[in-house]
Amino acid sequence: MSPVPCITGPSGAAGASLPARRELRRRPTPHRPEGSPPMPDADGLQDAARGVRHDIVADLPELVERFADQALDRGTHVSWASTAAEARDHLARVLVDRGATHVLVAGSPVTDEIDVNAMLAARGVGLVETDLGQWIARLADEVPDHVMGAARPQQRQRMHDLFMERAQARPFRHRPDELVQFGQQRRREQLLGAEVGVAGADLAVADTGSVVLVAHDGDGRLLTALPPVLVVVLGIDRLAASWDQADLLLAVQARSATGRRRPSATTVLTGPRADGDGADRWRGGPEELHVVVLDNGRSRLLAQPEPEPGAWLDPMPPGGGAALTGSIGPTSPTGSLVAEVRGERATWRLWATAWSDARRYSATTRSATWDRWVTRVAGHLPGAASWAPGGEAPDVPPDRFRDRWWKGQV
Amino acid sequence: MQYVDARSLWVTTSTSQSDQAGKLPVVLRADTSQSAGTRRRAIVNEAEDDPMRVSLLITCVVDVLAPEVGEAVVRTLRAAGCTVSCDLTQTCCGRPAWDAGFADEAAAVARPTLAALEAELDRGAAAVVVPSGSCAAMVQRHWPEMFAIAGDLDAARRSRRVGDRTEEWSAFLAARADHLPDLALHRPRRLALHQHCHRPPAPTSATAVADGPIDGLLGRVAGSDVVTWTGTDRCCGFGGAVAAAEPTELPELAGMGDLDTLDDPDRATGPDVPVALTDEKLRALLGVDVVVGCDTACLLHLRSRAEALGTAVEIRHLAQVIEDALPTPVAEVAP
Repeated sequence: MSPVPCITGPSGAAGASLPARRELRRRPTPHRPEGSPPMPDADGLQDAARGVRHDIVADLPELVERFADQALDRGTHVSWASTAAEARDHLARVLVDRGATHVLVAGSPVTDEIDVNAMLAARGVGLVETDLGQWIARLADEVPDHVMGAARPQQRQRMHDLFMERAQARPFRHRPDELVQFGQQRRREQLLGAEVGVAGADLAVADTGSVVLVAHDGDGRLLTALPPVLVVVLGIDRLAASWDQADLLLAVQARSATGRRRPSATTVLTGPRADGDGADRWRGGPEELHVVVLDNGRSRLLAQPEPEPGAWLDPMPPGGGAALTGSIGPTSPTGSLVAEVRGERATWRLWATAWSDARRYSATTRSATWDRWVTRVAGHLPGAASWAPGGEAPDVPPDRFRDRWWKGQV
Repeated sequence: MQYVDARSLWVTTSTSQSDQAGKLPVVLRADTSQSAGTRRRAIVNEAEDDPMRVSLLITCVVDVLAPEVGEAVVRTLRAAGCTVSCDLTQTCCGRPAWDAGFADEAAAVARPTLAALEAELDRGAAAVVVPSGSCAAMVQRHWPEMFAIAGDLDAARRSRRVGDRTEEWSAFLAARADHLPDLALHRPRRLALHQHCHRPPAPTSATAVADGPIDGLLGRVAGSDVVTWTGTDRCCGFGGAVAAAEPTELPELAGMGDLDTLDDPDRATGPDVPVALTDEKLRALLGVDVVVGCDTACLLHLRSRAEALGTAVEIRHLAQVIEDALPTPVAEVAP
């Protein structure tokens, strides 16, 4: 199975390789200005977004249908993919129809999920990334650990070596500006020749059958302007019912990811390019628009109690939690995640059995039993060896607060 | 299916406005109107009967690992004219399992705590006070969601009542600070503040961190010199379950001073995230006697790294600092 696109919670961050995590730590916050004040009313917005996500998840089957109806009405080609393989098949059909030899890809978690790059390579189709960082990550044969800054874990020297070895660069110094300049020039030559564009939808609106692309760099715009055909892969978890909902989710996403009020470049596609009047008035965009609606296990996971919806498709604002700021590991296929979740669940059940009753809580927290008990529970958590790495677990005082309270010492 | 339950909760909370079509989704208005700020004002306004009765959610970390913090919390509340009660049928708020993604297990643990706090409110407690920002946020914000996902809509509704009456200790005390006696430390101390991630918001969100309740309370303590600390609002590194779930990698590297040496390509691994965050924060301390915060789990983690680094700094809960600054020992009253 393919990597799931959105793993929330602390376990998401564990997916990054260690050198990558080290690099990420060195570059603390990519876009948020140092010391910037919290965004106004961040709490209220996030609560609201959370409520909206609850509604969306509950209405998902109906939303998928409404989206498809509306999009078809506006001349978009809509296809349903139950699996990643089906999504690749839909994409392949478009490529064959157009006789495409060069494809422009705006990499995103969902295009990585269905493994667009490998599919194109297997078919011998040339691939251009819109995002410089994604392009660098691909040169390095890596699945990016970070959605916004795909190249953040790459060290400068290594980037330079990659350009020299794999992009046939002429010798240059590994200064940041020269690295960027080379990357941009090399890619712009390729951008113009692409016949088909591929992107992952950041959001879709069922009421109008629109897909929304949030560009993380300016080249994302080229994707919707240059290739005559555009294929957008839409994970069903990205659907919103209305523009009111979409408006809120986009605002929360931008705030969570970059601290901005709005994403820097948001493109809405409601059907392909049109030149008519009235209701069918002029619209920009590609001549032909395909939307591949992807399930790939999402509805199954939502319908089952295990793993929790909260474990991977938490009704969180998109971009909240680990979805954007965390990482998507190169080796976190759904299969192993499920296995890990099941093992972890057994541990939490044990804990819940003990602490769902005040007497059992009291029995397990006495200083005499605490160490043994915590070791037993924590030892079962994946990767857990101690209270905190590099530090000693705190000593347990002989009397708990509740003991002192009962003795009248407080 | 579980997610249907969650939705019906949201719908229930907002049906009264559902006829206003074409405007913001009803959920938006229903929720933003219940911001933490509104709740806090409500609690304080109702609190003018004297003495105010408050109930403690002591939290498992304070209960088991830092009972002295719990004692300081009780004494400071009493000093602010509160009668303090604590229903010991409480266990834990459920946050550890919730953070790990296990709503059912979290709800099972939170249920007796919900019942205990409800009973306290029924017995006349005006507010529930929590000496930890993350546990307070759990009760105020996540309980309804958690119970709903776990399929217990009844508990989800009841938890809203408790959440509306719950306040983090420093926010509660700051709002009642006028009831406190004059505060003065016998020995002047230079303090650095750890502004934990779940700190209560500053009065207006556009203002700086330094306008929050922690600063407000310390501003009343004579003999406390709050030192500027670049690490003040950086995460302590504990991050709930993250510290336990992150594998330990070469902890001896965590002690190195020059972070640029991490660029050395020959070095295969570096310090792991919780350690690196904590150490970076601690190394930025300069001429500080005490690091002060309001979330005991953060403080325990900071203390463990401070000891490992050999940093000569005390790490204390703000309640302990204020307890030290009280004029005379508050009369010991049995519960």
